[in-house]
Amino acid sequence: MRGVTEPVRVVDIRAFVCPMTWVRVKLGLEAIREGEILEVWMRGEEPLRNVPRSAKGEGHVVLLCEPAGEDHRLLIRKGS
Amino acid sequence: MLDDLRIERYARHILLREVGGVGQDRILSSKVEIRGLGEAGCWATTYLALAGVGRLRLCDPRPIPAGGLGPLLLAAAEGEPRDRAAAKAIGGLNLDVVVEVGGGAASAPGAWTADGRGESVRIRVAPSAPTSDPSATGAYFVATRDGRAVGGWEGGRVCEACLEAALGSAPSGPSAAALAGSTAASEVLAAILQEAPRPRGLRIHRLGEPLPVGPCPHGDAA
Repeated sequence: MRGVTEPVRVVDIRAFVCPMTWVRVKLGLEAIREGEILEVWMRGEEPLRNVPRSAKGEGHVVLLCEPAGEDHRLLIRKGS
Repeated sequence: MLDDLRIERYARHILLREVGGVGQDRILSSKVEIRGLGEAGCWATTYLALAGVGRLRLCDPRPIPAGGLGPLLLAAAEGEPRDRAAAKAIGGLNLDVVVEVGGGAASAPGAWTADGRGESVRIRVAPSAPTSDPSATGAYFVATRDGRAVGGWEGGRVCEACLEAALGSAPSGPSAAALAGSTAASEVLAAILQEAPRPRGLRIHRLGEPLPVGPCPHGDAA
C-alpha cells in the first residue's frame, strides 16, 4: 500500500550544504502525513551525519540509510 | 509561498521546531498594526519585519527626535514622520514586507502621558479569518517611561493606576525599551503561530522574564 511501505515524496539534497540540507528535508516531511515515508538522496559526510540524527530528534523514524554509489538513500517515516 | 529564495531567507526560522515551513508561511500571510513608534515600538517593528510579517501597518506621524530612535529611525531622518521613515527603512530590511502607513484605530498613538516622558505601543494582529471572538483581535501593549517598561496583552482598557504601579516597580536600565520591544515582537509572533488567545494582563519585563502583575484592585480592566 503506497504511503505505508513506499515513499510518497522524494527530496534530493545532494546540491545543498548545511543547514539547507535539513531545512529541505524538514519541509519535505511537513508536506506528507504522519506515517507516510519520505525518500531522501544525499551526498557527503555532513548530511549523512546530521540528517538522520535531526529526523530522530524531531520524532521521526529512520527506516533505512543505504549507500547508492557515491550517494546515500534515506527513508524516513514521519512521526507525530 | 515558500519559493527557493524565501526558503533560503528564512532557513533559520524553518529550523525552529516552533516555526517550520508551515509557521513561516503563516507569518508571511499575517497582518499586524503597530501604533506608536517610540524606542520599544521601533525595536518591535524591526523584529517583526525581519521575521517576515507580510503586512505591517504603522501609525505614528510624530517627527523623529534628534539622535533618532532605536535601530530603525536614524538621526539623519530627524524631523521626518516616524511611520513614513520607518516604512522606508523596512524596505531595506526585508522586501517581503508590505508596509502601509497611517489609518487604523482613531486613538492617538505614541505618547501616553501629558508631559511627553512616557511612550506607548499597541500591536494588533489581524485575525486570519473573520471572527466574532473579541480575543482574536487583542492588542499587545507596551508602556515605557524613564528607562522602565511594562507590557502585556490587553483585555480591555488599561488601568492607569495599575500601569503607574507596575512602571514604578519595574527595574530601570538603558535597554528596558529594547527588551520590551523584542518581547512584544516575540509575543506577537507566538500569537500568529499558535492562533490562540494569549494570557491577559500587564507584565514587568526583567531580562526577558515576564513577571505577572496581580489582578487590578482599582475596579478597572487591566
